[in-house]
Amino acid sequence: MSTPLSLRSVLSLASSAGLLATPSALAATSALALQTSSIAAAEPMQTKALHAQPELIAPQSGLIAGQPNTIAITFVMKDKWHLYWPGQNETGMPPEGKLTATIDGQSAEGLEFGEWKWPTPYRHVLPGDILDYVYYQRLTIPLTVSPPESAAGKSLTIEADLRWLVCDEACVLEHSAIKLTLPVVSSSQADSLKPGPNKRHIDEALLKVPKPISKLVEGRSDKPPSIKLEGDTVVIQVPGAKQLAFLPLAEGVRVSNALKAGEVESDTIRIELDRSDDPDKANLRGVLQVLWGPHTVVQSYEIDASNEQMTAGKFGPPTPQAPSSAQPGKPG
Amino acid sequence: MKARIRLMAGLMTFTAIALAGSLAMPSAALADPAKDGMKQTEKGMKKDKTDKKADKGMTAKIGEQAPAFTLTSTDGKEYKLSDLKGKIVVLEWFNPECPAIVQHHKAATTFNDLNKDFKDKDVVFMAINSGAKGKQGNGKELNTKLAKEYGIEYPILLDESGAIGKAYGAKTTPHCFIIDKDGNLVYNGAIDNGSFGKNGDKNYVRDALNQVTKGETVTTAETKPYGCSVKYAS
Repeated sequence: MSTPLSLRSVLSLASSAGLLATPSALAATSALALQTSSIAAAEPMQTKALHAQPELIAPQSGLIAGQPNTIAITFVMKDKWHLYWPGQNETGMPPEGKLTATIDGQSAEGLEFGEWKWPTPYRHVLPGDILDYVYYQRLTIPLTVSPPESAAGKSLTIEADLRWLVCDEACVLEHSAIKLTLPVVSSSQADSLKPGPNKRHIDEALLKVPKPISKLVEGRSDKPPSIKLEGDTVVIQVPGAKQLAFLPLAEGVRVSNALKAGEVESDTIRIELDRSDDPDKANLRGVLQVLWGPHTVVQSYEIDASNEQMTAGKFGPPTPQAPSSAQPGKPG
Repeated sequence: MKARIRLMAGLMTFTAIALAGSLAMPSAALADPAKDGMKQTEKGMKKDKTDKKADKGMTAKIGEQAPAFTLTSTDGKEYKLSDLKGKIVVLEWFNPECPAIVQHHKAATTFNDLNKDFKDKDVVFMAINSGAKGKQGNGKELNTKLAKEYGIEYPILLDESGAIGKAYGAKTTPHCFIIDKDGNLVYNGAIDNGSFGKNGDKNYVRDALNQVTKGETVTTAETKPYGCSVKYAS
């Protein structure tokens, strides 16, 4: 139920940084589960208290027309309950849903939402060697919304129809429809917008969203991080790193290996691939966490490596796509 | 218990590193090499044990004999896998309160339909609940009540120690296993290609049963199950 990373000297630091500590979800609440299990039946709106309460939030008092604005879906969980990451979990399901928008009550066609940017989660090991990657307490998923120029001076209402599985020892499927209405201003009036109290939640979440792997490679030409394939094992070395962890986004990583060696106190991590379906193919997609030392904050990078890169021994050029390519509605 | 072992192993590693790495450490700290040696061995043994288990991954392997079991059902009857030689056995890992079980037993009748369609073809369905005492979905009365509500006509076997669940490597509810007439495991995975709250359009268990009842090899023998975690005790 605990992780090597959270047990050592980094404990207090990691906890305060909110990055690595893995609170254990204990306390059987079968009475509570009984009471709430009926929520699983499809009802249009929740009336009972939710175990994870969602909200649409914005960093400031309005949106700017004609450009992407960061907003977020945030869930506040009851103590000891958790939500799931959309990577390779053995159980559970990440939150999913659909966003729609209206401008002054009219359907806002052509308005675009960006992808959901998932912060790096925590390893969550359950009895029976079950390994999941989850969030505790608060999960904030930033995304962008781009109101058209024509929306300036009007008000934009964003609606999110969400459903999610939330678990402590018990699991409950919940859903809710939430709304956020904000005024839209033209870019020339952007200075009139005031930062709001939710800005810090969005900023904190953005810090935990994995960066492209190119950010790890940059500036380390003397001791570059390397990736290579040795048989069925991908070996990643990050010279100078104190601890490494790998969190798989795509299938193809042996879970027994992820459980045992998914987190190491070393500058080298070995990830065993399951290539039973195609012995010639090697792909590795996931999040690499790097801790440089006891007084540093854990950094996360997204890896999407192919055979060729592993054969060449180095991480490829920056991927054109945004850091987190996990999409809502497509649990891994 | 496991957490404690890891904590101990962690502390020992830390101690070992501290001892090996620090020249400033007074020699008294190395006082009892015999004891240290023992600790080292103990740590090594524990590590080996963990590694072996992890390396093995799922104990139940496709094409091999399915782990034997003798379990008691909610109605007090004893069921032995070895008594079912000559039958095709479908095991469904079960927790009547897990939303994914509710999805296939209340919102839909996925398992009951399969049971109906295959019971005349030498196929026996059994649900196994490996949830520990006090955890979600545990208890004879609760399972009896909800199995009746869901119209389940096959036995619900109780495995509170979790030993059988772990022998099969059952991780989720539902998690399905199919055993052929010779007692070999021929399918391990999800009920279908759906997800939480959405039933799939391809039922893997039905496809596998269609093949195994004709004596054919199961094409898709392993899939990734979805559902709640099995609520093991430890």
